[in-house]
Order: sequence, then structure tokens, then C-alpha cells
Amino acid sequence: MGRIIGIDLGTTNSVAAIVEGGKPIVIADADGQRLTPSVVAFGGGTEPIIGHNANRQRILNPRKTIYSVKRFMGRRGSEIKDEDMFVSYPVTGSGEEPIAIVIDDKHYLPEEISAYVLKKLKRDAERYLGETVDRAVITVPAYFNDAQRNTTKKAGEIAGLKVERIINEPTAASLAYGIDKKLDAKIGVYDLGGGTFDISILDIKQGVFQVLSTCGNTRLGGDDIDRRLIDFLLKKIEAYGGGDLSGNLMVLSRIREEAEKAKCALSFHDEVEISIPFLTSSFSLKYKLTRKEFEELVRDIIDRTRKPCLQAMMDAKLKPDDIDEIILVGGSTRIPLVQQLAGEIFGKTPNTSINPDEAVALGAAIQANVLSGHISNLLLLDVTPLSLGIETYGAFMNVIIPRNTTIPTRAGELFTTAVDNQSAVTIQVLQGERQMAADNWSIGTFALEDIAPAPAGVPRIGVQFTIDADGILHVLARDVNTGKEKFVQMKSTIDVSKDQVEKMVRDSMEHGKEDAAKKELFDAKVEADKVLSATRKALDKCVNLLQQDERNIIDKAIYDLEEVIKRGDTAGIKDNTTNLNRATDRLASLLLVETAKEVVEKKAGHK
Amino acid sequence: MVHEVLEHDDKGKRVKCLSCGSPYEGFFCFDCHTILPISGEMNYFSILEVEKRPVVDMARLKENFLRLSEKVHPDRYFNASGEVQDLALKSSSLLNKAYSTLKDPKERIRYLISLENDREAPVSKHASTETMEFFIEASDVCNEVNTFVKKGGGDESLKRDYLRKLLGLKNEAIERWKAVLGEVERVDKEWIGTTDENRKPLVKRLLVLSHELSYLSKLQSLIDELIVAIS
Repeated sequence: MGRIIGIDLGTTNSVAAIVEGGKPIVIADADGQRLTPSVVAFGGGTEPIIGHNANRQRILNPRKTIYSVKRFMGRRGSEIKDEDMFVSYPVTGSGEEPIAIVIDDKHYLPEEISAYVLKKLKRDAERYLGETVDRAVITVPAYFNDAQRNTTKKAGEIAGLKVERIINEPTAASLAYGIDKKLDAKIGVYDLGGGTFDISILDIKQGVFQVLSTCGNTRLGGDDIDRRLIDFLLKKIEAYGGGDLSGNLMVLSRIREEAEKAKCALSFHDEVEISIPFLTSSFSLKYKLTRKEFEELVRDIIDRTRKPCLQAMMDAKLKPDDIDEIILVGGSTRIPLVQQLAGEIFGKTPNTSINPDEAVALGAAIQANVLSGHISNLLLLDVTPLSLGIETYGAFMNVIIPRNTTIPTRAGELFTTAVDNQSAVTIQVLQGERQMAADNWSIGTFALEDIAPAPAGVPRIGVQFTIDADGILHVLARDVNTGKEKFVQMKSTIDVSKDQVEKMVRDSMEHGKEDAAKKELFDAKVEADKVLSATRKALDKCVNLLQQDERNIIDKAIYDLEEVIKRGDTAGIKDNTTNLNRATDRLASLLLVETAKEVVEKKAGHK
Repeated sequence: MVHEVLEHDDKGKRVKCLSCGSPYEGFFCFDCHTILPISGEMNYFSILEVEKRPVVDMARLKENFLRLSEKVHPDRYFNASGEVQDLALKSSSLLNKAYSTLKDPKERIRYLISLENDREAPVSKHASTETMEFFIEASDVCNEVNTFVKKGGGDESLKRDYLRKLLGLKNEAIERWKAVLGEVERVDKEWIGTTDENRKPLVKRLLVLSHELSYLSKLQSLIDELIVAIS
């Protein structure tokens, strides 16, 4: 078997690395470049151009030059907010379908675009090593969910790489930082890249790198800073008489390039002269941007890293003083304001000793060597960043594996039927921290089928959820009565192609559409009844504690739900049940306190 | 409890190493360094090689966890057969679960009670009157802060005031938590000199303490959440 390389598949740049003579090193390409821009340009030939050469096309061919595609990995159409759509190439997708990039009427999935970047890194590694490379450890942001991890794995497969392990970027960076140091310390890794932010807190002891907690934001990075700067410059251009250029893609690409340059320069200089000649035939921009002005402009973006840091410390049960070092990773941590904020949050001068662009890839290469058995005095214990759960009665999320659980991990849950002779149970799997199921990310649904006819509540099906060392979920179901086991295929809500969906719809029509519809209506009604009766009970107790407007909202939600139940409108019932649930959020917490009070009063009475 | 059903698998009957034939306990043969199906009647305490009692030596617990992780983690069996890889996944998951249970006093005590009573410790709505009153007082503040945060939380002086209140509540919750742990330690002292069959009253006391801890831990995470939200 060939050697395993480490790859940092970044939003802006990607890097490949390998361990040679016991030391991790970055693999440079034929031109000696160590970073490969994660840019894919379609143009003349049949094969797209990748990396630096593609980057050069960005201005000339903005609609066919794909960058920052990592932001779209594992996301569905409905998730793309307008602000994310601000890329110079066309992106399509709505509802549950995956996002696609449209080039010459052809649809490319984000993983296909990423695969082009991976293919180039693979070729560069092969040229450097003089042997075939078909195995890799690829990094992802620690806060990536199950779908984003799976999509990254798929990108590797499309590129002809067996993805031996997915590891988290900050954890990888900690390996690169700590490998030679014989550390016995608690460290925080603050990783602000082109498109994502992660904070991980680790306890390093006896060669074991144990992640205590992780938090982040997968839509926060240098891209957002660039965009803020672009908007600022567009306003200046308009104010100086250059007109509104926000609709001109070619001009926008030029402004973007200059904005990015200015941002980088301001990390080392107090001011920078932005000069973009002939934006129109009669207008050239000259603007002196000071670091101070820049900082005021982007402060709120950088400040968005604060809450995840506090959350991570809370979850690790540590205070800033308990953390020995705070390590900065990711290109955006070169910005002085970022360094200042990280220092402020953790109460110490941040450590900038590692190369912020290369550390993650180096760490991936180290982990690759751990897997191949060449490094045996080092072990990585990572955690799952998001709570895993299932949707339960009342449209709530019931947590089965809490966030920051060390992986691999397994947890079981028993399911049964709600109706006599029910032959299948469908379960929705969720990831996230919100109370209501609808507010979390739906990983997908799975069905427990072929349940032997029995009265409601009698069948017992044990379902085991395993999160493997890649942070990816597997589900195994077992009929407790018969002992029969089977892996359950999860229907991911995003990676189903349109054709498949159509076929599924056709199939279901052929196989008794009515039955399914009836069952669905029945389930929805049962659910609605539960929520209605719980609400009425709570109102009985706490009605006096509600504000009039709160009361009105709840009454309206009850009325609406009762109306759709009368009409037998399944979708309406579902929507209105969720609505009522939301409307009674505060009522539920009031009820909890009331119940506690009652218990206290009862106790006091007994005394 | 569900975990029971699924983890019975892990309690294989074999007591001899499949590879070298030496007797072993747990899931790793230290004679020939082979990972094995878990043997005999193991519980989280025996897996982590600490005494089964209400208080554990945290430093030792952690050291054992790290040492055992080194042995059974899937990364160590990367090139092994599928069967061995599966064992590593199972053992490592079990080890992680055992450690996360024992390192948290509330979870540890609930687990110990479940072992002693041979069923899951019941969840109760009742705690001591003092704890319940504190819970109500704190909940009121939390509700207020929640409303403030939801409305945008612009007022800086109000924000500072709330943050101060939350931190005060957090400290009080921690103090109360420590006081309960002090009680747990007293039970632990008696535990050592008591035979298995005479532990029922101690288990009962632990159950009461576990309810106190449940309330206090729920409150702490509620307060933590709001501190992050308002900061």
C-alpha cells in the first residue's frame, strides 16, 4: 500500500504534506508553490485549470472561476442565504436539493469542484514522491456537521483518493504545534480561516492530544472581511462620482482582488494606498485606507469569534487562567485586531509561532503517520462538535449524544410502535443545539421496517448510533425480540439526486399513495393533539403569568391548529403544530418553575 | 435503560486471550498486546481500574483512561482485520462512555446507584426545599435575562448588571454543588467499611444527593448558556 498524505482542503488555499525522516513537510508543486489556491477555472480546454493559474483568471472570467466552494459543501439549497450567494459564479439549488454550480449549462456539485483541487494536490504529491498516491487524511473545520464531513469524503473519492481519516483542522494544528515539545499543557487553538472559524480546547498529556471542547462558526472568515471591504469601496466609488458598480462582475472581481491585497498589507502597515485605475472609462479609484479605519469597519465580524470561545471554555469547564497557551491558526489570524481580540478573550498574548497557513496540513500528515503505524507515541482523542439527537413528540429534539463527547462513541435508544400492527417506524436524526427539532440540521431519516404485527408498544427495536473516529454517524438497528440486526441506510436529505427523488415519488405512488397519506395524517393529528393538550394544561396553571400579547399569540396558534385539523390538511397540521410549539416556548419554562414552586409549597405544608 | 440492552454484547464469555491463551480481564491482553472482546462482568469502574465507590481519585481515573485509550483506540488497529477494527471501535466507545460517566460526579453517582439497585436510578422532580427555592430564584433571573437577550440586549448598563447577577448565581450554584459533594464524601467514608448487603441506606442517601446534583447541574448549564448569550 502506498503512503498516506495529509491534505488541508481550505476555503482559500489548500496544502498537501507528508512526513519524511520523521518530520512533516509541505509538498510544493512544480513551480515551488506551497499553497494551492482552492480555485477552479473553466475555460478553453476540456479540463479546468486549478490553483494559481485559475486565480489569475478570476478577473477575466468571473462567471466561470470557482472559489470559496467550501462554503457550499454539504449544504442544501434552502440554506444559502442571499449574502452567501455573493459569489461571481452562478449557484443554484432550492429546498432540500444540494447546491450546484452552473458552468455552461452543466451542474457541478461542490464536492466535484473540490475534487479538482484534490486531484492537483494528488498529482503534485505523486511528482514529488515518484510514486502513486491514492490515500489521504483530509482535514475539515471542527464545527463541520455530518453532511459536510461526508461531502468532503466524497470529494476525496471523486479525486481517486481513499480518505483514510477525516480530522479536525484545529486538532491537526495542535499536533503540528505539539509534536516535538513533550507538552503537558492545556491549549486553545483559535483557527480563523477564509470561510470558517473554529476554537478547540485541548489537554495534552503523555503524547495524548485530548480535545476537551470545540465550538465555531462555519460561515465566518476572511471572505466576510473582504466583502465588507468591497462594500465599503463600492460606496466610496459612488460617493466620488464613479457610479454604482455593484452589478458589474468584472469590476467587482478587480475590487475584490485589491480589497484582499489591502487587507493583507494592513497586517504589516499602518496605512495602504488603494489604487484601481479605470474602473470605468472615466473613473479611477484612489483611496488611502488606514488600519484604524479598517479595524472599525470589520470589528463586529471579528467580534463574532468571541461567543464560540466563551462557549468552548464553559464546555471544557475552564477559565482563561486555566489555559496555558492560545495558538493562532488560519490566514486571518495575521490581522492584528484578531490577535488582539484572541488575547483579550483568553487573557494572554497569543502564540503565533506556527505557520498559520501550513500547520493544519502538517498535522494531517502527522496523523497519517500515526495511522500507518510509523508514529506510536502519539494519540488523538477528538470530540463530536454538535449534539446528535432524534425528533420526538412535540417536534422537540431529544439529545442522544451530547456535543463534545469523545469519539468514537456509541449510544442506544429503544423504539416501539404507536399504533397496533404498525409495520414501520420512521425516525428523523438531527444535529444541533436548539430545543426545537426544526431549528436543527436534519441529517436524514431512517425507517425501521418489517416489524412483525403486534399491539402498539410491544415491538422493541434497539437502535445504536455510532459516531466513528471521522466524526461520521452510522446507525445499526436490532429487533430486541428476535435479535435480528441490520445496518440502517440513512436517507440523507441532501445527497439524493433529483432523478432519485422522482423515482421515489413514483414508487410511493404505485405502492398505495393513499395508505401513506392516511398514516401521515394520522401521525400528524396524534402529534397535534398531544401539543394541544399539553398547552391547555400549561395554560390552566400559568395563564396569569402571561402577558396579554403572549396570550393572544398562543390563542391564535391554537385556533389555527384546530382549524387545519378539522380540514384534515396534513401539511397544515404539521406547520401549525410547530407554530404552537414555538408560541408556547416561554409557557413551558413558566410551567417548570410553577411545578417547582408547587413542590416546594407542598413540602413546606408537610412540615 | 437502553444502553443495557445494547451493551450486553460487550460482555462476552471468553476469559482467555484469543491470541496467546493467557487469562485476561477487560478488553486488552497485556501479555501479547492484543485487543479482545470484553470479558466477564465488567462495569465502568472495573474497566477504568478504580474502586467501585462514590468518590474516585480523579488523577488516577484520567491516567488510566489515557493509558487504556492508547491501547484500544481504532488508530492503533488501522491496518488490522475488519473484525479487530470493529473490536477497537466497540472497546474505545465503551471506554469513552465509562470515562465520561465516572468523571462527572452526578453521572457517576447515578451509575453507581444503578449498579447497586440493578436498575436505572429514577429521575425525581424533588430536591431539598433549599435547592428548589434557589432554583426558582435563579430561574426567575434567567427568564428575565432571556427576555432581555431576545429583545436585542442593547442597554449596556443593564447588560453589566445582568452579567454580574448571573456570575453571582453561578458562584452560588458552584458553592452548593461543592457542599453536596462534601456530603457525597461523607457517604464515601462510610461506604468503605460497609458490606455489600448493608449498603441500602447509603444508596438511598446517594439517590437524594443525586437529585440535588441534577438540579444544580441543570441550573449551571442554564446560567452558562445565558452568560455566553449576554457576553
